[in-house]
Amino acid sequence: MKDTKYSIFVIGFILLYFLVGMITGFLGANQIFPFSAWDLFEDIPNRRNDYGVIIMSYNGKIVSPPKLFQDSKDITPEYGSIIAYRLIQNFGKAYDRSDIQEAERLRAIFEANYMKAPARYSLVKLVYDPVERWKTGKYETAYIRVFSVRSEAL
Amino acid sequence: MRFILRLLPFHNFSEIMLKEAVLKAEYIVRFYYIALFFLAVTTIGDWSYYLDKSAIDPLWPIVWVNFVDYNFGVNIIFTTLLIGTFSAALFPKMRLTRLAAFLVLFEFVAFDKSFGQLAHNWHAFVLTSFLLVFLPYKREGDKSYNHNFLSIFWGCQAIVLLAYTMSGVWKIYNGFIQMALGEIHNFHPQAMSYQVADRLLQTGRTTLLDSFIIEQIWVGWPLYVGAIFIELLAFSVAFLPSFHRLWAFAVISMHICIKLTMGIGFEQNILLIALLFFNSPFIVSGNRWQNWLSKKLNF
Repeated sequence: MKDTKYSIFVIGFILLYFLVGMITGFLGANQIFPFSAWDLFEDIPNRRNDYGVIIMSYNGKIVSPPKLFQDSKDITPEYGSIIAYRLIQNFGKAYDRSDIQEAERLRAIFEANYMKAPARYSLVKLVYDPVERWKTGKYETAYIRVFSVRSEAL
Repeated sequence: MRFILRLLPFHNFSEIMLKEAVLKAEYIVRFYYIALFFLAVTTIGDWSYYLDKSAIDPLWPIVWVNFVDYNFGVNIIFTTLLIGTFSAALFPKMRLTRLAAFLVLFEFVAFDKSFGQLAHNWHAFVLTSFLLVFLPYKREGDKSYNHNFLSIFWGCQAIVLLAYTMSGVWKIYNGFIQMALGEIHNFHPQAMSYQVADRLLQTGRTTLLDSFIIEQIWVGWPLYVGAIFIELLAFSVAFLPSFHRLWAFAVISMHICIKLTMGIGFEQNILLIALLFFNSPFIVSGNRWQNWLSKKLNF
């Protein structure tokens, strides 16, 4: 008779991981690290309703024309950070649902980690078709609010 | 449960086959901890990057960082990561060092993901290092050692494969929903163009094959559907050792393709998959995928 307790433990662990991951995924709940739904790139973004940060001035200089954070290669070396992008999305969503406390908390993290100098920027809503925007650069914007970092006012 | 146990690839192994498989698996575990230590060393470059950050949104395992000086917390996380993984690389047979390696990795990854995005590049290493803590001790006359060792090792392979299958399930599920809504969906020829363009707009970056793959939808289409297929069927490969090498090759190719088009590197997973599957202890002589297919198709 084989000792099966290790096999049963392993199968139980795998089953637990699967169930917790799938249930949190279906409920749209926050993932409990290290569990995960693994719902990565699960759908095709036909038309994006995103949030963006448009930098208007940085470190005492006017940015003309104002640039999206992701296009600000000459302003911040972290322009391509996907973490910054996700942070901006959560920041924008919190503002949109009027959860000001959460929005301010996320804003503080964004500014502390990605806006190292005095700056002025707008939080905007972006609407676009990804392939069309990639080819033509076209997107629609709607301004939500303008913010100043460390009293940059121009 | 008995049915599932019978499906395990080493269920019918003779004592000699079990012994040979364990010998291979023990070597792989040794290399696993060397690889983990190597990856820990590569994070040294991020140390100053994280010291430069000043605001954190901590995941539950590192809420303690909020109660100490931030720089002190960062230094503790990186120092223990190096010491813990080094000790496991030196003494992989000691449960204490394996436990230390898991704990320091768990803390490091939780920290790494505490800045606004829960990326998944380290998850597979965290899960496998957890399972490896439970590897049995070898005692004289312990007849169940080989079976137990292989159970844990198989668990490591299975949990990595499961993650890919879960990802594939979501793509199939959402693919049908978007298809029903009349939108571009996961099986649509333009699926890959949209994913690549969307990702690159989020990061403002370019990649070697970005224009090519966005424009040439007939190249991207089979690659995208193929990737979903590789992901979805991954877990079944846990029970089919003859496919271990083939699947590992396919999934590593998929990751390289993703890196060249979307710029997303899953280097940790590539290393882990190569370790666990290229020389899988469950592949016995003559147990090749071609033989399995010809047997099933009665060639």
